[in-house]
Amino acid sequence: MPHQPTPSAPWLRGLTEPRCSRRGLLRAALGAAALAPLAACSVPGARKPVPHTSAQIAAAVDGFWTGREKRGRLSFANYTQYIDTDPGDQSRHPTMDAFTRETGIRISYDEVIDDSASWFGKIQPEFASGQGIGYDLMVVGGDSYLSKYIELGYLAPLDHSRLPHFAERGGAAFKNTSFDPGNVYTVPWQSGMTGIGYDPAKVGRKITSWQDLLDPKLHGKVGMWNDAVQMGNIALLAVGVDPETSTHADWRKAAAWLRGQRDAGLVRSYSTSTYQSSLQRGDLYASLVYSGDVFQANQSGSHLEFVIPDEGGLLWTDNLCIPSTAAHPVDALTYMDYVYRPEVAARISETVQFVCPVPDAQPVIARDAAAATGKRRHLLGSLSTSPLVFPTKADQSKLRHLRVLDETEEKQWNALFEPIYQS
Amino acid sequence: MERAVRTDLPVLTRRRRRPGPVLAPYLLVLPGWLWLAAFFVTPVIVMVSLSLQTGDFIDGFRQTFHFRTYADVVETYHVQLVRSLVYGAAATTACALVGYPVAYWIAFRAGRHKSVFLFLLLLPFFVSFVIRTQSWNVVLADNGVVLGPLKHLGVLPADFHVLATPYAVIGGLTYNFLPFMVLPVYVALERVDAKVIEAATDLYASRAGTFWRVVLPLSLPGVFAGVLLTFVPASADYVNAGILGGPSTTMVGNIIQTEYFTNLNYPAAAALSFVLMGALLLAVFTYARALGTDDVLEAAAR
Repeated sequence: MPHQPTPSAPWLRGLTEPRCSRRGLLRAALGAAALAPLAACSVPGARKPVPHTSAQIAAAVDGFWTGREKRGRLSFANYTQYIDTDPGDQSRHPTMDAFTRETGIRISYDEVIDDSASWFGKIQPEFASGQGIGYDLMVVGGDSYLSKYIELGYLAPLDHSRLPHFAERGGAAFKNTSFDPGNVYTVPWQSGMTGIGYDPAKVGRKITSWQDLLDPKLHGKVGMWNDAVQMGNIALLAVGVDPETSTHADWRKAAAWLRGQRDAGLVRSYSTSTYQSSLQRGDLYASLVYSGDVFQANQSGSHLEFVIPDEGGLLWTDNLCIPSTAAHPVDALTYMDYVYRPEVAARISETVQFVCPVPDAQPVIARDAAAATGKRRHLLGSLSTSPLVFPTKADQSKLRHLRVLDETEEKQWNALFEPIYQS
Repeated sequence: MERAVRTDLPVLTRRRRRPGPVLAPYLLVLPGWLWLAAFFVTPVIVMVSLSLQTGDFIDGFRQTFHFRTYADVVETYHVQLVRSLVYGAAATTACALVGYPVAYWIAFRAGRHKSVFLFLLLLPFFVSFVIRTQSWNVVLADNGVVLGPLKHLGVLPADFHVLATPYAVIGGLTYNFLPFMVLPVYVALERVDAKVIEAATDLYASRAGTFWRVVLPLSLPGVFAGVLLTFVPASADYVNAGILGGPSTTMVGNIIQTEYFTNLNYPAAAALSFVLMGALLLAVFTYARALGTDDVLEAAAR
């Protein structure tokens, strides 16, 4: 480059000196190119109009089911160990085999669901792109994810004219729930109670109230959960409020109760995955538990107690529903009704041991107990009389339902309760 | 930074280069570039974009260049961020202290059984990470096989416990990432020329002197690579804190998981991921500077 005299004016210098190298320009261009697509990116919303009036619902049901026919196949996605198994062969499920013999509908059954969140994350992209998820029937908890499925239009409205057994045999406590009034999209699969489980030998006294989880003698021995839904709801019960009618002020009181418990050093861990074994080993003396966990732990030699505290416990429900993209919805609906037969519900309860949504299954289990021998007779006997599987009237009067949250409320709720266990 | 050494090499290559395969090196690198573009650059751009959006899951997220999310997540979760880096650093230090002797022994003392020991070192990887971590819950139970007898003998007080403490989480991280430290250190030690050690002995260096002044400096690149391989994943881990932790051992990985999967708050999760990424890069480069390594990746690849 030939030598040029430096211009005197400072602003001119900028024009003549190579301030911007070619490489620099290229870098800047690449940088800008990398940022440009950002402006175009977004994640589209997918809210669908949800039918509310009975006429709208009837129209939606008609619209979905008209012209649909039985295909002789169905695929079912479930949580692990959540259906009856043949005692001799864990891979066989007698009630499903009987269903196939009776109706000719073959079921492919997969225990692929780990929890609501990861399952939602897994199938949501397929729903969003309008593809089938490969399942005609799935189990969804009665929590905020169910509301999301409904608001996004991912679930088929159920044709109740084809669910006679549900109408006749479904327990009243399991119908018309707050998360799905009128059972438009779901029917209960299994239900359960959240209460306190404890080891009487370690605690040394009876636990009857949520306030007992503040007992200084339990310092560092209480188990709570890293689950904002359950934690918030039980804390509301603990401060004497019915979750379903609670206000934002009540939530703050409940969060303060939980924070007080944590700050006093009572809680050893917040975990939904380890509390059961910790309780059995004695690392925890008392913990928030599901009713079915205590029944199963005691079957394997523990001596734990389950209480529904005086202030109330929670009744939650896992539900059967049909994805709107299902390829074999009629077959799925047929199976949905089938599990409401008392004999079928009884067989499933005998393995699963949660709260059975079909009260008429109780005498069937009692009859099975009388016919069985040895250990199984004992198991079925205690099952048929267990208030953990068939809650008594007194228990039922103490059970409350989870608060149903809309999108805004859910944010406020999580902002209050998550920091307690994510500290 | 330009490297002015090895002036002999370009001469050799220039002489051998023919007009035809000028593109060859680029073609050879192409799969690597494509891989990076498809599985790193694209997702990172998507995530950067996501971190600057606002909205909610049902109604959708829109690009609003809302940088405030970054400030918000740092303000809310700085405790967990710092804790993650501290736990990561503690686990990395523990890995180095435990792993170096192991690598040293395998490299210099294991003789013809070297491969057996390397295989044993990798054996735990054949079992799921989560299952292995979960089994520490059984091993370290308050009255389990380890603590139970010690408490019975009166060595430990009755209410002593390891689980649900920071020590359990750091211990779990150390256990899970140890092989990532041992293997690069082993490779570096393996490369130390026996003649150099012999020379040190000839020059009357003591065994300790040989180690401190010859073997250790020559193996430092391996240690550096090991630190990179353990510190980064250990700081971002969310399994150990979730399974072995207590009320105040939450790491930033757990928060990201909750924000992403439970709250479906994608912008916050993405922003937090980038804050963590930035913090890790800063920590790694600071460490490299302190160690006097000019080029981090060069040292790691050596």
